[in-house]
Amino acid sequence: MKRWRASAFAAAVVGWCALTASSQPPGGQGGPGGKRGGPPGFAPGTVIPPFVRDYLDLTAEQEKRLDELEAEVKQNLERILTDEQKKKLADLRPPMGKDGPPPKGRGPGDKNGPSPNKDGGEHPRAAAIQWFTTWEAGEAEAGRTGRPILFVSAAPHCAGVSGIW
Amino acid sequence: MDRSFLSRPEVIAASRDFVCVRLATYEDADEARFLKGLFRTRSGEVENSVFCVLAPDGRSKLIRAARGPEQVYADAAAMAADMKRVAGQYSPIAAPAALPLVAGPRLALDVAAADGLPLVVILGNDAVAHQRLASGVAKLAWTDELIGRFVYAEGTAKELTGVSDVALDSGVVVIVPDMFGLRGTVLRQVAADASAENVARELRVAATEFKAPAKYFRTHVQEGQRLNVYWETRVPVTDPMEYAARERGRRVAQPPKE
Repeated sequence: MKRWRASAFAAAVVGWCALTASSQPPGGQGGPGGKRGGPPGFAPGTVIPPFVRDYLDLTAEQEKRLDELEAEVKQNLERILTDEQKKKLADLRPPMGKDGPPPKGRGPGDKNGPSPNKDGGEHPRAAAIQWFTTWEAGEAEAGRTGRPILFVSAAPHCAGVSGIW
Repeated sequence: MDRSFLSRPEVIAASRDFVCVRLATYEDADEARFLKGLFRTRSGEVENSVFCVLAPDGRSKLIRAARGPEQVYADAAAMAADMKRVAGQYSPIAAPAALPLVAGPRLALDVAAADGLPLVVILGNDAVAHQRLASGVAKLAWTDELIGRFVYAEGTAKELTGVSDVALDSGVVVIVPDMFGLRGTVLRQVAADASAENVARELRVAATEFKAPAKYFRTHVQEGQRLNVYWETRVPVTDPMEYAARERGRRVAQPPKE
């Protein structure tokens, strides 16, 4: 009974997280949520979205327990929803990678480095995405190489303070 | 700016099949016009962030544009899978080779600080030496060993007034930016007449020596406001939320006299 209540609570949190995830543009607040095909960024069973996990600087133990909770929520959702509802949900969502949820904890390329909760110090940087930083150069390189363009624009300052995206 | 998907190893790995372009919003008027055409925002103006995947022609959208990847994909794994799907539709004719320069050392220092990366600056006015150095550094920039480990710019020693210990007028300087990307210290520097092997060795050592400082969004912004840090953009900020935050920040840093 206790487990079922925990799962129901987690499912409610999932719903809340889905709403907030869809309304949060990167690095800030507000902004439009996805309007076509339902809320983007909604993965059934997700208790805390990946970008919020990063923001919370979870310990390895917390990540592990969250993963276990999410697995339990997903199992219960499978039992709660009908086959037709599961199909509707699958049609609603963008494609999930075949390997399932992303790796736990921070990736080696994370630009903020490991959590300070772990050791608080500095760390060698792993490789990250190599960006062209002007449209002129990037467009020219894409045309020359025949490669598609992964395109992002962002401000390297927040609330007027530089040094952070 | 998305802090999770673009830092994930599977997305980084998938990015190697793309030309990855990241503009600094509000730093170029032409780019601002391009952004406005690419993605219609709720305010109708350029807002802080845009995300899209485009065909090599730079015009055709391969996915819908959004504020960030988490508005398009459920998670980083889904993003990486879709990137692989997109990349599989093209047969590249060459690998990226051009040196990805930020427009000017001032902005480059800020970008490097935001990325938690060291900044490589090619210094000097001599065109021949400059071309030789830039060409050598460009080759290194795309090697497996050094890809994604530096931000790059070119300029003169005069433009690096906030950087201590610059001992060269021409050559290659590797700079550790301060927390706010306004100043820096030299990590490594190589004169313009150094051999290509020497330049390569210095960059490899710099990549190993550099340690990214831990940075936390909330404390960074609070500390920056306390220290009166204020970034002047080249193009006016039009994101309503960011504009309001900048004004609030300005009042925190310089409270009105009673």
